Amino acid sequence: MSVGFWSLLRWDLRHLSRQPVLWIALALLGAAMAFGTHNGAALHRAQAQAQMREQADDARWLASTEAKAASYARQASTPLPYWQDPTDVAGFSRYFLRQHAIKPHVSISILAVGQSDVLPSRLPLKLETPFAIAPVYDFEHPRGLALGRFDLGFVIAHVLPIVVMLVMVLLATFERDTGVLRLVAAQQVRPQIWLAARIGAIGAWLLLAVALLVPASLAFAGVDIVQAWPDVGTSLVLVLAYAAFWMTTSAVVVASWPRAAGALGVLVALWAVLGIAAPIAGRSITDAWVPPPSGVAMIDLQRRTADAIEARRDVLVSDAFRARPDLAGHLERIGDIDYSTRMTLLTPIIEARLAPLHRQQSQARATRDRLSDVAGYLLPPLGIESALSTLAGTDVARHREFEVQTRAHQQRLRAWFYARVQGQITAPTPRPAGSYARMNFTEFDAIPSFQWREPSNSVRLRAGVAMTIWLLVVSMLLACVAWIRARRWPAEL
Amino acid sequence: MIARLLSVELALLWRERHVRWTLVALAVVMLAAFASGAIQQSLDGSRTQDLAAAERTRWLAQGEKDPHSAAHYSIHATRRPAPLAALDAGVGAYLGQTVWLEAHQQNDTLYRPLGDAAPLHRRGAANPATLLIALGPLAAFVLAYASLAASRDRGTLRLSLGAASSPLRIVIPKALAILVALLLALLLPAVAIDTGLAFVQQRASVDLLLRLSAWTAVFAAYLAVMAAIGVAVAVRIGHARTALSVLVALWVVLALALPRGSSTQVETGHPLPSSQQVRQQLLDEAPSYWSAETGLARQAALLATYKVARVEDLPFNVRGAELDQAERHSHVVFDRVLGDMHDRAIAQDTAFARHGWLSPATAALSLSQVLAGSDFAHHRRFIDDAERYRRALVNRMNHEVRNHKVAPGERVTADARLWSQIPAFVPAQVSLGSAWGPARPALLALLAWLVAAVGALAFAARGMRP
Repeated sequence: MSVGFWSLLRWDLRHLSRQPVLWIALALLGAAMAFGTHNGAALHRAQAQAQMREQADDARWLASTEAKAASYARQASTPLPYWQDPTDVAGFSRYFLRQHAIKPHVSISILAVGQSDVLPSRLPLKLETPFAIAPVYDFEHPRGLALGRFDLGFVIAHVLPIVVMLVMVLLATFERDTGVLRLVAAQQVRPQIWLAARIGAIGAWLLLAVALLVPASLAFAGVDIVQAWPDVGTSLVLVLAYAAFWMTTSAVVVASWPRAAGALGVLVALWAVLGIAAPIAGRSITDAWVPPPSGVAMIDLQRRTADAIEARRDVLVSDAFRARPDLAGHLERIGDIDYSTRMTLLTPIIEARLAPLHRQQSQARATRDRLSDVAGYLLPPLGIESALSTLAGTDVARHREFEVQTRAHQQRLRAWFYARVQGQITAPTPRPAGSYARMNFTEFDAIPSFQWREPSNSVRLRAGVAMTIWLLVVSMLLACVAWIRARRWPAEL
Repeated sequence: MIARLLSVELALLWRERHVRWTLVALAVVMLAAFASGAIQQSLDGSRTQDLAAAERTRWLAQGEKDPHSAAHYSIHATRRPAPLAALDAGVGAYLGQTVWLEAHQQNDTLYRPLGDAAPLHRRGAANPATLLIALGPLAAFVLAYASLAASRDRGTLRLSLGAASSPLRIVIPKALAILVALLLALLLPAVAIDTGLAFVQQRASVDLLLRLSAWTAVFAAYLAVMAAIGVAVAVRIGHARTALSVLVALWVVLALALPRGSSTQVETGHPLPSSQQVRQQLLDEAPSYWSAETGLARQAALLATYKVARVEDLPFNVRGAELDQAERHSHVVFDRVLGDMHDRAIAQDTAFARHGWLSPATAALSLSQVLAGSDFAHHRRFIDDAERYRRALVNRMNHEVRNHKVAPGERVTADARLWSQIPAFVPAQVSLGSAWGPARPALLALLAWLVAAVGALAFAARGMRP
């Protein structure tokens, strides 16, 4: 039996290498992958350049602020308003502080654009921004966002299955469509062996091509595949497992000996269900179960909160003074403090009032993210997209980590500045006589800056490995089903 | 005669079990997507109204304060859902819903519904238009194959050819039957329900009905192109498996790959300035908080203009005048920098519409969003309306400060009498006639595709073999 299989496999491998349809399909797949990586690289290159410009502009701003501060250290007839004075710590903290949190791309980011086209790669840092996350974004043309990018992730998740299905169906049903299968069935060969050899040969060519095309297209777009071998290797195994899933799915269909038209019809319908119809249903169910956080609701609450705080502003500030042992003895200063200093006391109160809705919206987001992850295991096209974007560092989870680190840095900045700003209430630095500037702040170079801490590489790789194992398990089950279904030749032969 | 042949072809199609199930399944998916879109449109509409009413109440009830503080308080303007959002939500989910119309800044629209969505929710954000564009050709090709190539394999085509006076008599009813089946299953139910909803919800207007009719016509033309291509390929290519392979390849290329590829190519070929560059330019040229040096220069200019030596001698409130100067300077910068970016985004849409010559799916996509009012050009009208309102509001507040001279250290205040002079923000209805410019090349392209597809059908019929 095994001799028959290997002989057939060797013959099929030689025979298939002469089939134009195989080479045309693989050439088109290779071109699509190259175009995809080129597009992904262009987007990420532009984002990286924007990040570098932002850092340079922040540095330029700080340098010009320091120069301004130096030039304001002089005598003048009228003092400088605090909001125009970088040497006034309160004025600086609100009107001059300019920093950005930057989320750099990982070396293999062009593997999938993922959510990197909608999620900001830079966040402005302001002390008063509730929970640190300003709802800003980089304007990408919304048509491209709605339609999706032609990136490597799209080619792998959606074009690769169609190539696999076409090649599988056309090459595995040739004998059935041309009537030759009757002659094959008349030979001393079991249907399972004959079909396994054919599908094995097609699969071998396809997997070999994918194994070469993925690293080649990444290298073509500038990825150092030697340096990034753990990521490239994990991605490659994942893509091969995904290709195996579609091969074994095709095998299940082909194993019932349909004609090419029937097999292709079933497979394309399955592709449309998994890739288009089921996500629509999944989204509708998720929306009904866990409604998406509403930006309008947050705006409404922020406005109501701001009004309520403003209405009781003086009472709240007095309460804040009384609650602090260091400020409690300085109630007489309440009337003198500027807007910026007052906001250091009111911002935590505003955040506390927004916190319930913020918490509720964060939980809703987390639940929706988890549901999307689970759906990825049920819908392989979605699963591979998610897994590729996790490996590429363009996923939602890495962005949530970015938001967490941004918030932590804002808290550090607040602690650093609030101590200095509120210190001026209890022990104000004496203004130099006749000075134009306030001169109670010159520590520009000591301001804490944001440092992105990349989560361990193993976190990303684990996500890829988990999806790979799942796809291989499903593929093995499908292969068993195909083996069982192919145990007899078609009855009409 | 054609009508009888058409009814026969329809009956034959319906008799095919897998065709029947394909059409029913697609019809269910279409209606589900439409229902989801209609619910979202209704929710968005009511949220918009609620926030607009709340903002108006807040504006009027803000109490006595400095008019410039009121200009900062201002309102959040909210975008209305597109007229045909249930049929094609277009790019709406990737555009901010609201914009804060505060002094000094033309803010970005914020809170994009899919701005931080997980993959499932982005992938599942399909609507009837995107489904028609992606799956309409597949359905048309499956029906074309079932109607023609299969009957050739069974040998029944030979009999038909022998009996017909011209191959066109066979081919045209088949293509028409496919088109009618697609219209009845995929297109017309959603359009009919949306029309009914427009009347029930009292949204119906001449413009809306015009949009609905044009949208329906575009997709009827698109499906006709695909039906004609499907039948032409099935007629021309003698072998059933080859015909189906070609049809599947055409579906992938025309409906899936080219629209995405064209969009990406247009973005690369006509790049927009990066948001980082735009923001930096605005900060450099029109900062919200001006420096002491700028303030002194502005005061000096005022003194020179009014030929006085001291600020106290100016015939108006100098703070109000400075605010007004800064504001008007920023308008010029915003119009140049942001206006240029928005112009370039619309130019990208026009360039994308030109790619309709490569694929009818691209042409239909481009036209659909314009007709549905869910493209960027419609959003830009909202941005411009909101900005006009912001400028009128802020200018009015600045004038109030400018016109009231006060003693040094004192501030001008105003109350509800001034706030009520500012009308509520109502974004203008965008008429179809004024907004369809970016899609004009797509209309020409779709018509050309229609003519070419019908021509290909006639050509294929002439060389038809049993």
